Order: sequence, then C-alpha cells, then structure tokens
Amino acid sequence: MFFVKQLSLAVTLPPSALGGDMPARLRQQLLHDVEGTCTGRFGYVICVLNWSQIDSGKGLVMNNSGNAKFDVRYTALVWRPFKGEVVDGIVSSVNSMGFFADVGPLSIFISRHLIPSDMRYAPAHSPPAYIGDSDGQVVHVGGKVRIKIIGTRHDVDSISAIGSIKEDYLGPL
Amino acid sequence: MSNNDGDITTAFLPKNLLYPITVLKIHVKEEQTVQKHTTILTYKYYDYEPIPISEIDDEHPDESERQVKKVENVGTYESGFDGTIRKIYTKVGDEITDNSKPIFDIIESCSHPIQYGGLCAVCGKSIEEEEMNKRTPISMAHGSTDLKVSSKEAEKIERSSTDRLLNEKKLSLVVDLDQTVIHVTVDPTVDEWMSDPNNPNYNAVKDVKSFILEEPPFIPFGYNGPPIPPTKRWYYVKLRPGLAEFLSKMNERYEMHIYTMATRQYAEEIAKIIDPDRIYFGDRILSRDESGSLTQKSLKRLFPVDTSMVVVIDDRGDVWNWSPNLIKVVPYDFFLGIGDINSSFLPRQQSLLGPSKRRKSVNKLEETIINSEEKKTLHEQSLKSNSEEAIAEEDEDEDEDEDEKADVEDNKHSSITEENNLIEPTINETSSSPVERLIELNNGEDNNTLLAVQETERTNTLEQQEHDRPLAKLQQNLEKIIEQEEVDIVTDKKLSNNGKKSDSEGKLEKETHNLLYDDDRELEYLGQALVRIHNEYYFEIEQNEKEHKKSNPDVKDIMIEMKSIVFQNCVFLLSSVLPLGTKIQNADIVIWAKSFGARFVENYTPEVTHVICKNPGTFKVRLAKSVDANVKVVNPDWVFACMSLWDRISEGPYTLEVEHLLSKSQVQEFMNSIKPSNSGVIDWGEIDDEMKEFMGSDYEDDEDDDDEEDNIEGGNANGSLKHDREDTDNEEEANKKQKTVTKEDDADSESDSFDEFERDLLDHLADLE
Repeated sequence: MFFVKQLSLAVTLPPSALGGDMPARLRQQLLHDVEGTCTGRFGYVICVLNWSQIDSGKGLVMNNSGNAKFDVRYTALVWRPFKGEVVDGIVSSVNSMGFFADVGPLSIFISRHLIPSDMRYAPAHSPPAYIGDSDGQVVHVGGKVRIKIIGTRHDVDSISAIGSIKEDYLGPL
Repeated sequence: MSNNDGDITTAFLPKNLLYPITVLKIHVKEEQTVQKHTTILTYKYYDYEPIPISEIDDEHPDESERQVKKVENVGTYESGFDGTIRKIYTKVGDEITDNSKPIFDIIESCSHPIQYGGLCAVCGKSIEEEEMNKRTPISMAHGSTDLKVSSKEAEKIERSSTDRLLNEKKLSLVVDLDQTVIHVTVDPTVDEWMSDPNNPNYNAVKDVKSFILEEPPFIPFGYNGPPIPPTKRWYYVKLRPGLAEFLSKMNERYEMHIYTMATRQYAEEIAKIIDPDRIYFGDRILSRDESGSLTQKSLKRLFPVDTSMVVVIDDRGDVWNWSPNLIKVVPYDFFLGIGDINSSFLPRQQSLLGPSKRRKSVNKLEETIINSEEKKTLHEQSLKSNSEEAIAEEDEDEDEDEDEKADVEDNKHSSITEENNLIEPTINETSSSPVERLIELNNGEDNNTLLAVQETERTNTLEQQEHDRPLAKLQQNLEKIIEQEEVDIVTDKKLSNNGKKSDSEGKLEKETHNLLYDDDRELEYLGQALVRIHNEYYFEIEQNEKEHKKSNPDVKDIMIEMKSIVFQNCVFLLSSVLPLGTKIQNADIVIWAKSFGARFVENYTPEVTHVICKNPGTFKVRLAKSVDANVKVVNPDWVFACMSLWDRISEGPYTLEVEHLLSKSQVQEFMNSIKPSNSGVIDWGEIDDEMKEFMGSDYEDDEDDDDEEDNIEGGNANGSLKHDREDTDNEEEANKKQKTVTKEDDADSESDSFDEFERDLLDHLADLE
C-alpha cells in the first residue's frame, strides 16, 4: 500500500559544498541517500515528493571536522507490503519449487504449494513455465501475475514476502 | 492456508535441561490446538548453589572452598510447534532422566517445507533462524541461496522431476564451462589477432567471441581511500569445436545444467554466447555465487537426494572428488598456457593433462612453458631455505650433466631425433605450494575471508594476464623455435645424410607459424559416449519394465560398467610422464585411467602390458621392452585417445620405437633381482634394496619416485617368466652381489658409481650396435 509520509534525515555536507549552491547540493544528497532505499518500518521509499521545497532548517557546523550537518525534513511516497494485500507483479524467475515475481522493488516468492494444483512445472517450455492443465494459463519469466501476499517479514533494511496465486481471480493476467 | 498432510511430529525435551526432572503439571489436553510457545508442562529439578556467605562460618573464607547445597527449582517446557496435540506420553509425577523419551505427538498446521527470506513459503509465517536451519537445510535452486527446502520436500521435488525426465526420455547433464566447452582469456593480444587478417593466427581466432564485464572492485578490509572505480575487462571466448552440434544433440537426450566456479555475471554472459535462445540451459545456471563451496563442486547442491540420472562433464576431477557421476574430459586448451582463468586459486593442474599438441613445435613450446613454470616454482622454493637451495642446485647440476651426456650421446647415435634432447622437461619437483595454500584456505573457516583471498588471487592473475600478454610472447617464442628447427635441419643435413630425416623435414615444411590451432575433437567423442549412456539407461528401463522390476537403473553403474572394459586387464607402467616425487595414486591421469579399468604399477614387473612414456629412451622402457617383447610402448596420447573414445583403440600409431634393448645378461640380472632365490622365502627388504640400486642407475629422467618401493607387485611376477628362470646364470648373480656390496660401502659416491655403471652400460650397448 502507498503512503505519503513525513520523514527526516541527517545530511552531512563537506565545507566545500557550503556555497551558493548549497540547497541544490543538499537536495542532491538527500535524493541520493533515500530514494530507492528500504526500511523495515516504512517500506520502500519510492520518491521524495516536494523535493524542490524541502525543509533543511539551519545547518550546524560540527566542531571536529568542519562538515555541516542538516536535519532535513521531507515528504516521501513510500510503499509497504501488507499481509493480505493483492498486488500485480512481473515474473522474474521460475524453478521447480515455485516462482519469483517482482512487485516494484520487492521480490515475492510463490511456492508450488500456493500455485493451483492443476498448474504444472514445465522446464522444457521455453522459457520455463508453470502451465495450467485445463485453461492453458501460463506463468513464465516476463509474464504478469496477480498475487496475494500471505506473509511478510520486515528486517531493518529489507522486506521479504511470500505470495499465493491459489485463489479466485489470482494468477497470470 | 494450512497444508495439513497428516504428518505427526514427535516432540522431545531439550538436551540441556538439568535431568532428572519431575513433572509437576501438564497444562494441555490431547486434541487441544496449541500455538508455538504454549506452556506444555511444569516440572521441578534440582540444582546446586553455593551457600550464601551470611550462612557460613568465618573459618572458610576462601571462595573456591564454599560449600554448595542442593536447591529445588521449577521450570516450564513450551511447545516448539503450532498444531493439534495428538497424544501425550507423560503424566504428572513422572521422573524423566534424559531427553530420549517423547513427550507428545503433534499434528503441525504447517511443517514449513519451503523457506524464503526467513518466511515459510507455504503458510507465510516468520520462522526463527535456528528452526529454519533444522527444518529446511537444503538449498537446491540454481540461482538463489535464499530459497531453502526440507529434505522431505526436496525428495518430492526430485521425484516429480525424475518422473518428468522419464516421460521425456531424458537424463540430467551437468556441464562445466571453463576448459570443458569453452576456453577464455583476457589477453588483449587476441583482439589484435582477430582484427588482423594477415596474422598467422587469424583463422583460428576469427570466430572468438568477446564480452565486457564490469567487475565491482575488491575493497580491502579497512580501506579508507577514495572509492575505487569498477574494473572493466574484456573476455575472449573460444568455443570448443563442435559445441553447437554437441548441445543440440544433447538437448534431445539430456536436461542440461551449467555448474561453474565463475561468477554469476560471467556465467550468464557465457550462457548468452553458447545458448543465445536459452533453449538448452534456460535458468539452470549455478555459479560460484550460489555454489556454497569455493573449492568443491557437489552434486548434492542440485540433486540432494537422487543422483542416479545425473551425468557430469568437467575437465577437473579433483573438484568433484572424482564422483562416479563424472565424465572427466580432456581440458580444452586453445589459448596456450592460459589455463582456467576462474580457478587460479585452486591447485594448479598437474602436468600432462591432455594429449600433446599435434604439431611438434607447438608441443615443444608447451613443454618449455611447463619447464619454466617448474623452474620458477623450484626457484621460489629454493629461496625459502638454504638446505632446499642446496638440493635444488644439485638437481640443476645434475640436469646439466644429463644434458651434456645427452649431447655426447646425440653425437654418437645420430639417429635419435633432435627433439628429445633439445628441450627436455626438467621437472624436478611438484609444485606443491598451491596445494598447501588451498589446505590453508580450507582451514580458515571464515568463508568471507576465503572469498576475499580468492577474489584477489583471481584479479591478480587476470591483471597479470592482461598486462603480460603471454600469447604474444609465446608467438614470438614459437617463431624462434621454428627458425631454430630450420637451422637445425640444415646442419643435420650437412652432418649426416640420414634417410630418416626426410619425414620430419616434410612435416616441418608444412608447419605454419600460427600459435593457435583448432584441432580439438573431444566434444564429438564425448557426444558419442553420452548418447551411448543414454541409450543404455533407457534400454535397461525397458528391460526392467518387461521383467516388472520396480527399480530404476543408475547411470553410475552403467558408466562404471562401460568404462571398466576399456582398459580391462591392462597394467600400465608410467615412465617420464609424471614429475619426480608425484605419488602415482594421486596423479590425475592415474585416477582417470583407473576409472577405465586400468591398473598401474610403479616399477616394472613382468605383468605390465603397456609402458606409457614420451621418451622411449628411459631405463624403465628399455627394461620392459627387453624383458617382454610384447609390451606395448605407447605415447600418453594413446591413453587420452582411448579415454575420449571410451574404447581401446589400436596402439599402432602411438607406438614408440625402443632402441637399445638391454642385453640378455642384463635382463637376466633383472629377473634375478625380482626372483632372487629358489629357497622359497622371499626377502622383500633385500629385493627392495636391489631394485633401488638397479633402478637408481636409470640414466636420464626416470621421473617416478623410486623411493616408494612398497607397491612393487612382485608377488604376481611368476607365470610368464618361467622360461627365463631356467637359464639362471649363477655367475652373474654373484657378480651383482659383489657390486651391491661395493656400492653400499661408499654411499657418498653413490651417484658417481651409478654414472660409471651407466656409462659401462652405454658403452656396452654401443659395442653391440
């Protein structure tokens, strides 16, 4: 699920950056440091929203190095997967135990236990795929699938998730 | 979401409780559904605690002498599983003495058979690490180590893939990349040759593929400098001739996997080149990044349960521990002297890995490479200690002596080809240092350190190769050698108008100046062997079906059976093939040929059927040929050819002419030495001494270790030699004994007296001619 979230980050700039273009350097540093990162608590930081008007406050020159430290507050669009959420993803790899699907930055594993039992693993198919016996549905690398997340685990800087396509309206699109 | 397959799990108490314990209360009932960490029972146990200081008299102030007293404590036992309790085996008041008795049976709601990133992939619950390792220890996916399965699940998955393969009439084939199906170098010389049609090597390298890899820099621990930019490196890939046909042919009969010691990126680039449509390998690529071990390959990684349908092809037997599933192939050595760029950290392959190059001068060049490498190792070793240095110098002196002698001999017998004496591989010691390093590496348990060491090693080797351009140097050397040869021929012509020369001359004229030459046919033969294995397997399956047998055949058995007939009843003797000091049971060629049914002996015994040597002039060879005229003296290439074709081919083209047979009396002497007396009591110690003395006089480069006499298979030496025994010459024996005595007296001048003895022999031989 997507959220707009107020976050803050301590950005340190070297003395050489404390010139006229300081706000630009600050923004650059911020975007570089936070966009695309993952925190277990808030999920993935997709992008910083109001990057043209971030609030950097007043910097503080640190007495041991001369670097300036800014407490930057910004608004970011974050995405956090939840148990029970239904998402669309792209299949990234298929093996005999199940398949992986990428949902944005998150890689979800769908085990063969959670694939409808009439879908069989066909490694001879090029590329390898899970193929439905009756309806001819195919899950192959590059294909789109609709997945229900059935479990997530949040570590400090990573999220892993397990999905299922063994329910109505789920599976290849 | 539950996967209730009715499996009952039995729970035991943990090992580390303070037994005995007494059950005080049971908190759950049978058929009750419990969560993990639900308290199952409360128990009491006894522990010993020191008596509080306040209670002790002041007489014993010493801490260590404080008395302890028995105290009663109460503890609880929690369920480690989610599920429904089926049966409870214990009751209140029971005293439990150890953890061998079951406490309760539980039907788990989910047995967490597949685990990904700390989550059960079936129920989505988070699993603790400890439990994870216990339940799902096997990682069997190609591209990822995060995905782990339980052994039960692995079995299920494998069974379904076995069924699938049987339906498709296929087997599994695990393919190594480097030096098995391709040969790769980073030497930029190749690029220059490719773009220059006038270069003598242009024809061989024009179809070399290349790709560029950006490799993350290796950052040393504690590095604080500026960020190191990633290195970009060009790789030049030469496909083994016939690879495309091989793959398409195998694809009909085998499901193929790539298993390489290279990095993932590299493996994928290679896969793109050899299988652009991804029809042969698909996603079935396993690289170093997922292998789990940096020095060993294991079939268990891909086929944890059943390896009865798996065939492995690799150019190295040692990394597979010579698994029975392995077909060792002759390494593809296209870029001379480059070796395997991805296993520089492994012990270097021993010399004599494959057949010699077809062309003489290239062959000679290769020998020079080996030679110089050995010299280098020797030099390094000699630097280590003075005593070693002394030995090394001695060795080198000896070599020089031998060279001189060889020259003298050459003048005497001009019929000996010049090739043998010009560049004789003076291999003095095995390069044991890489092996030692590997052992050191293995001892270091930290895998990260190991990886770091390996990565540095690899980067260094590659950088060196990129910088030194060994191929360009070799090309220069080759041209020198060819020139030299041409000069030699002219001088030879002047010296003698020997008719034999014309042959080699004709060959030399055809000799072109290109270093690289595309003459490998291994894949063709390998393909044939693999087809035969496949046919045999499914033939046996049909056979079993007819006889209503349930069991499936095992490719291991089939391969062993097919291989063992190749060299059946063959006894091999190696001469001047392995470096001095190599234990023959560890040599690659020996292990390899043994798997084809051959037997090896270290020293000549009359049961030897084939003598394998490069130079028929060694004492061993002459002895063997003299004793038994039926002994076949063959070039090692014959062995490789047989092992490639899986068939014992005719020795004809590989037979070497043996000149200077030993005289009858010398043969007799040998026969006496291995059958010393008629008394029936065999004194092996004496025989050993005599053999040592006798074989020690070997005049040239008897490179096998003469110190190891324990393997003499003299026990079987009877039989074929009875006729020799009849004309035993007592005088000769007596003479010999005398000689032995004198030699033992002055052990210091032993080598001198050997030389004398040998000179006598040579003179004697010359007279005979």
